Amino acid sequence: MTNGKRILFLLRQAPYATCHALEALEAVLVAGVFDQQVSVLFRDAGVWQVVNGQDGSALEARTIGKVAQALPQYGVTALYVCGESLAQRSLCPADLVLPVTVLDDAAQARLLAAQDAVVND
Amino acid sequence: MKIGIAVHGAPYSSQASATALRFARAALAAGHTLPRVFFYHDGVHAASALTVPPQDEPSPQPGWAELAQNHGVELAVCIAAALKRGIVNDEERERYELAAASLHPAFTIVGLGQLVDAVCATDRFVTFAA
Repeated sequence: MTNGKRILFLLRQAPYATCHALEALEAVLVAGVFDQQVSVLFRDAGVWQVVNGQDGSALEARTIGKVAQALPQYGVTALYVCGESLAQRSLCPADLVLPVTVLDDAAQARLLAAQDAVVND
Repeated sequence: MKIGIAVHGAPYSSQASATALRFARAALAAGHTLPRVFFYHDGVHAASALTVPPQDEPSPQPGWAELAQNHGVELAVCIAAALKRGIVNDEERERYELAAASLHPAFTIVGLGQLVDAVCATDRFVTFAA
């Protein structure tokens, strides 16, 4: 498997209400160490996972933004965020912990269509 | 076609497990193969042998066990997600000196890498979210 499969993880859940976001990110990190073409699309409440200034210690929880920041070290550098989801929450790319590519709905549709598999959360 | 399935919702609190089971049966009936169903997030609760389903609310668990037994479907449960939710096999019960094991024998505890492996080894991958 030289180039591997194109696998997109679609992350849509807010970071701290449940452990769902953390577990989903852990799955992405594991996928990153496999020899695959892994990408991530943060959408809906999932954009809060990558917002700046998080501090999980107040909840005795891991800081999800820090976990997300580890993605490039695991070989996951194709990171996308839904522009509409950001706008709905009065967020902009400068508010995020990682360099990401902001996509409109049409571009997200093309991204999804280009995958071998989409794993939603 | 080889189809992979992930189940992310717990039985009863979510429809995910029951819907995934119906999908799995339909896929097999249509001639597809299902090498592995991967239970992650709250989906791991499907593997608990310590549930008592109410008589009028059928549990998907016997259906999953039947797929494993008669169709060779591997029922893979993520170890990290399982242990923190009290889904424990004998080996882990011993390791952590717990009072009891709770894993239904039709299910297997595996690492998270098996999720990625299931995605890579199948032609289609379908997630049943919570």
